[in-house]
Amino acid sequence: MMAQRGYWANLRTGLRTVWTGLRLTFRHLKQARRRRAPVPIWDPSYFRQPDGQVTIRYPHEAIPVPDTGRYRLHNHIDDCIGCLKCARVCPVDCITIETIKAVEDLGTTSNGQKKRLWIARFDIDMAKCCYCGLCTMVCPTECLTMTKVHDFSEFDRDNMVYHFANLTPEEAEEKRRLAEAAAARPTAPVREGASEKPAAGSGKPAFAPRAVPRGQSAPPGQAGAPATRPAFAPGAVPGPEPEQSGEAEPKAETSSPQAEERKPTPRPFVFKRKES
Amino acid sequence: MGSGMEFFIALLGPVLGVMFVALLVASFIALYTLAAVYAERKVSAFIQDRVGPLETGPRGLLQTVADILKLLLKEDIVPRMADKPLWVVAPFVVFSAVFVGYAVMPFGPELVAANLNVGVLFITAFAAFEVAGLLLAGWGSNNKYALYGAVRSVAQVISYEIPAGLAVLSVVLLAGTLNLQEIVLQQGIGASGPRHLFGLPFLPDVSALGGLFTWNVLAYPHLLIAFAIYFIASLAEVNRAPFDIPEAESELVAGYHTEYGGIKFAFFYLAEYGGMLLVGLIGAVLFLGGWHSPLPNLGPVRLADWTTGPIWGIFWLLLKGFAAVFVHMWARWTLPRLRVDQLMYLCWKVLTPFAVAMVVVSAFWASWR
Amino acid sequence: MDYYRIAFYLFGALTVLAAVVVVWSRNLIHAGMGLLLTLFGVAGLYALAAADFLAVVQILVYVGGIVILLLFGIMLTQRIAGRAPRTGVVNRTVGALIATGLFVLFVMVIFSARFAELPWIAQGRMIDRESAPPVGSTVERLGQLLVGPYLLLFEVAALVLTVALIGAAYLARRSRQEGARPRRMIS
Repeated sequence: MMAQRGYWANLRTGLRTVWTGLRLTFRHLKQARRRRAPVPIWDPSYFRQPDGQVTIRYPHEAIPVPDTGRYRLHNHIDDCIGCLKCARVCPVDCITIETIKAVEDLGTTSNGQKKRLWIARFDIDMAKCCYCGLCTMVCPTECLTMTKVHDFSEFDRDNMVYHFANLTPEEAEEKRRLAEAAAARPTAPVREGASEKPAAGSGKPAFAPRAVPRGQSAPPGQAGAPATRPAFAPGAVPGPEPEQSGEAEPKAETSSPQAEERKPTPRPFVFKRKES
Repeated sequence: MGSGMEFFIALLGPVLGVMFVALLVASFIALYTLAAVYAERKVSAFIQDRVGPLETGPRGLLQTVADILKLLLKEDIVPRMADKPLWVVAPFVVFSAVFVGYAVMPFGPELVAANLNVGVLFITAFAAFEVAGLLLAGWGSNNKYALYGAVRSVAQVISYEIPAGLAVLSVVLLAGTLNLQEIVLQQGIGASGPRHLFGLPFLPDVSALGGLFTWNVLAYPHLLIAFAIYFIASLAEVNRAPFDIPEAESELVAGYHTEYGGIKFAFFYLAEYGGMLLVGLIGAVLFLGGWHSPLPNLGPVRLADWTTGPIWGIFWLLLKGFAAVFVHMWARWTLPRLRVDQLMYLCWKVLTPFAVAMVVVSAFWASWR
Repeated sequence: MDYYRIAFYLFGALTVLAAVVVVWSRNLIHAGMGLLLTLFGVAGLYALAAADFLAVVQILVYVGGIVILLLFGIMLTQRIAGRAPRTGVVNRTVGALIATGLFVLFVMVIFSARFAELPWIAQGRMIDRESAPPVGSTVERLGQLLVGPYLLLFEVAALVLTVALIGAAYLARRSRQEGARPRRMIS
């Protein structure tokens, strides 16, 4: 509030400020003939465009994102050793991993680590992801990275789940049978490894129940899934949709009996969401 | 039988003619409103360094067409607790009050629908009629925001009618007539009687020169202040920012048209934009030479003569009106909304005394001329 | 049947019907709106009688001013919506007598007066509608009359209105003793 002022002083101030404001807006009106160029931030003129329209007509044009942009996750599955660290560290539990112990030699990752597990499933729900980047930090092989792709909206929420595993359901089934057969053989280290899974599941409920019951109950569900499953299709939108819906259904079927066994709940749908 | 037919034709003929003209003006207002809403959005966007509507049609030109189509297709919802007859009739009252103002507007030589002797008063009177429509809308909606908006609007319009009326009076005193067409005729070439530059007798007579110099604001310089007063008051009368407290979005949702949707809401829009143009046209007629060209006759280059005629008349008048509408928009996107006490301060302590002073100056000028 | 007659009957019907609404409506706001329409219809009748200035002033003052103020008053009154304003019926006999007497009086006046012989109507009948000059504006003549023969009345009316204005401002003003807050300038 202004101090007590005289009538004429008020009037003069009013006229002057109105005039100043009108001049200011008219300057902007004139400058609207110019517009800001959609230059990237590393361009020297990025901070030197003080006037003109600032709106970037986004879908038609965009400010380029630097290569260091950290948006959509990508997993280079060939280098993934299935260590589950990313799934464990994820604060919103958006990564679901399912591994199968390999009986044969899987070779090494590009940085020389030995791969011992098949990755039957490596799903990241980008709809849940909070882009904290913790998963990329803990990744021992640096196969999980954030890319600069930032515009990947979808009409169907299920399409936000990205599948990175490169095994088809049939292949996964095959590997699982092999793993079980190997576990049944009286070879001490392998049995240990096989019995370790349920133990881990009971011991660490935070993440393991996701992986372990899936490994046990998946066969009936996975068998019902369509044969062709894209090995790795983060960007392929129209392709994975039917397969995904085909996959989502058995998920619900397999999970609800478990729900009734362990923890009776009237809302299997919610349970399924929690599980995946 | 035959005579009956003739009777009906004789009866209906002029009625149809009048209706045709009315329809012409109504469709002009509708089209102008479409353009004005687009212009307002573009002007506001440019002032704020944005781009405005861009996607619908080339450069977004069809955006308002799409908007009006949406309004036309909307369900006509009547609030359950509304006072239905009042609620239904209100938007049409408001629009009609603005619409009849165009009837007495001289658009060119010989181009005025109703050449009333009391044209100035007529427009002022129907501006008051609009107030009744607003009150109907606010009360009929049975909504506190709508009622607040209507009450504020009425208080504001009635208050600002006084400085506006006094500013108009200062012109009328000098013109000696209430007829808008005559007021226009005095401000151009062929004005009866000498018309000295700036109204000062020792300066040359410019009645043959025409153009800019014979306009009221230049013929009587004190009318420039009267014009400013009229312009500010007319902003308040059409409830435009910075005097938009009746529909203050941040406090009253939308004011008196909160409950309206569809075609009824469209009528409020038509009334608002039609009112903006109308007050702009009145300002042009009273102060800025009406349909007269701003170009003077310079020796053999008879610019004023060449640019005078029915088509030119419409062109010049609408140009002046649109310029006023543009300034309305410009002011809206510049100035913040006034508080109610500031509104009344401005009206009663600033505009009204100055308007009275202008009337006094006009009275002396008219008697000593 | 020319246009003036059609318009006359239209405005007349509007005036009467709206007046009926004013009298019969139990909703005060509806009655107020009826009053507005009545005055509007009367303005139309004035216009048809070539009293252009009077017609416009009727709209300006009554429709735009007085009725709006009246409606304002109604709306600012507590709890009027939905409640029928009713008062008890008193003095039936006297009221009926006065009403009937007035009615009879008016009817008698209407029937006994010879309108055709009144000077201005007789003059009007003499004028041939086709050849007569169009009726000019009444504004100039009204103005000359107001500042000529009726100057005193005009000034007295102005004085009365000024006194009323000052009185209203005085009544509305917060009194010095109660006025807790000092008046602020525009801030």
